[in-house]
Amino acid sequence: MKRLWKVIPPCYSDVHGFMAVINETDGMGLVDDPSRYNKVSAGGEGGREGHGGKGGHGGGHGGRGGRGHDRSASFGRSERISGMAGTAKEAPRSCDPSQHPPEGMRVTHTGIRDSDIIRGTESKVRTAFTEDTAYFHPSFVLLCKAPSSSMIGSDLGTIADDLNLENKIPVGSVDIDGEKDYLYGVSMTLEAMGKLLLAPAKTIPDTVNLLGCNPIDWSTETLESVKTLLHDEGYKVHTVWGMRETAERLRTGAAASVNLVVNVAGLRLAKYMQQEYGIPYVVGAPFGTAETERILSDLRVPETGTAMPSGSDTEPEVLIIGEQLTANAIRSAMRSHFWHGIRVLSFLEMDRSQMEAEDAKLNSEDQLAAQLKDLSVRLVIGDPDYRPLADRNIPWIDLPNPGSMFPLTQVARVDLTGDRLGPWIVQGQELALKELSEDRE
Amino acid sequence: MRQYDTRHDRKSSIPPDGADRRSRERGHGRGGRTDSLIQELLDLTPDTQVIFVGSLCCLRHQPFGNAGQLLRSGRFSILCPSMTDFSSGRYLHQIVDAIVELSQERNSKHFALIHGCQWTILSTDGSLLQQELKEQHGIELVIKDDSHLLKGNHA
Repeated sequence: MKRLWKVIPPCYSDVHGFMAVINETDGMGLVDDPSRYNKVSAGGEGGREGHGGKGGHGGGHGGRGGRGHDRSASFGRSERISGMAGTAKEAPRSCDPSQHPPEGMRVTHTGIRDSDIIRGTESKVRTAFTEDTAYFHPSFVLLCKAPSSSMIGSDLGTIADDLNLENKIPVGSVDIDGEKDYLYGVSMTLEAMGKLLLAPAKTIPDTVNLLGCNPIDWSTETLESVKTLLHDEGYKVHTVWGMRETAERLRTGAAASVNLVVNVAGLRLAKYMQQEYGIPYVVGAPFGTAETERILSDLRVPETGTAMPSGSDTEPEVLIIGEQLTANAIRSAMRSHFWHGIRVLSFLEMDRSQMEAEDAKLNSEDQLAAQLKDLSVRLVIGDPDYRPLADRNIPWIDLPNPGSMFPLTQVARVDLTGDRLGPWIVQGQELALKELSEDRE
Repeated sequence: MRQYDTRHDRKSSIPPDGADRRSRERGHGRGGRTDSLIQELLDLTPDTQVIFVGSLCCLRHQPFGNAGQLLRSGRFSILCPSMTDFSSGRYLHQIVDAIVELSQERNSKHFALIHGCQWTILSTDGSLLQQELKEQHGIELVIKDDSHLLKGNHA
């Protein structure tokens, strides 16, 4: 049944995606919600009240349950108020009960109650805005709804416009409400940041903006690997949208000569920047030799919005379940290993232009179970927590879903950048086949 | 006209206007409800199934800290209707369909439902739902409120 999770853990919500992005900036996020949010970033750290998170892929250590985050790199509270030593600034009330927000947490909530459902939430938004901006001194503020405020149609767009006029801080709103997946939240937040911060700028040749590399899916190690890869090809990464960047830097984003969308969450922003500033974009995660070569070639002569070729395969041999661009990169690499009939499936945000004919956005466990039942499937690459949905033993390569809210299986994280993907697939195939033969024995 | 079901487990009262927001946000935890909530419901009968009805982002709260293991145990499930489902009333049918499906698959006639704020905002008549499930499917349903509109944060 659609929207019913019976076996596999659902992923983080769009508000978690919003939070993950904002925490990587010197801005502030305000969620119109009755209760607080704990930090979720760097592969899902601390996503729930009082619970640890797990890792994403792309890092070098730990796996799920571990942490790949360089806290010193985020724009945390201590960093932002370091100039206020001795002032004993009281924490914003929305950060209760620990009095101060967790380090690196730059998202608070309005603390609305049932009476606000009747009277509207504007006064609570304004109160929290005043208190929390006084604490964080943010470079910009983004407001977003939660389920309760969304139910009564809170008009945060108008409140943001009013606050913009009344304050020196740029204020915008993100149209999310806590019911969609985290990549949708990342995508909408990045687009809102672009609309709020970007300004026309003179193009700097051979510069690239990286769009969509959010801290849930990406580690700082992967980000650095991609920067190095591009640097070696003569490109300079101008700004990074989704990880570790100041508003001051992001404002200059329109100066880049091309945008590289490395995660499907960056596509909305890329389309906006193409439309508003004429910046072409290339889509693809630089994982695996085949996809990396294709991306580097496209960067030289970018063709905006190039659609994926339609696959002609009818019988699926391989299912890849995960973030769309990562899965597409794995598909390219698999093809060079002579696999055919490769389908990309995802419970997360997917873009039609990046889908092949048989690819599918999954809306329920039943849909995945039906795909796994197909007897032509000889290999699955996906989160091991999906395995109970298979009714037979299929060779399986573990590709962790870093956005899973309640991961059950520990998976070592992998950095797939550049030519690292090929050996990962070969090793994965061998392990999967060995496991299968052991099971049969 | 639908009437709000007051039989839900609603411990808190509305704080007086002007009460400190911080103290209100502490309120929920004082009653001792942490992640034992689901376990308490599971302990009602040996075959009780627990289902959460609400949004994905509500799952960040403490009662769901062990949700992964509970899903794997086959006694917990999560239904996340969309905003359209809630605003159109379709969520009521989805709840019935989900519970009936789970009842058949897991051979249980005892269910406990934990709901989020949408249910409260819409003044959902839980008693009607209980009555329908009992009369048409022989399923007993217990309803627990995990809306944070009254309680704020968990401890």
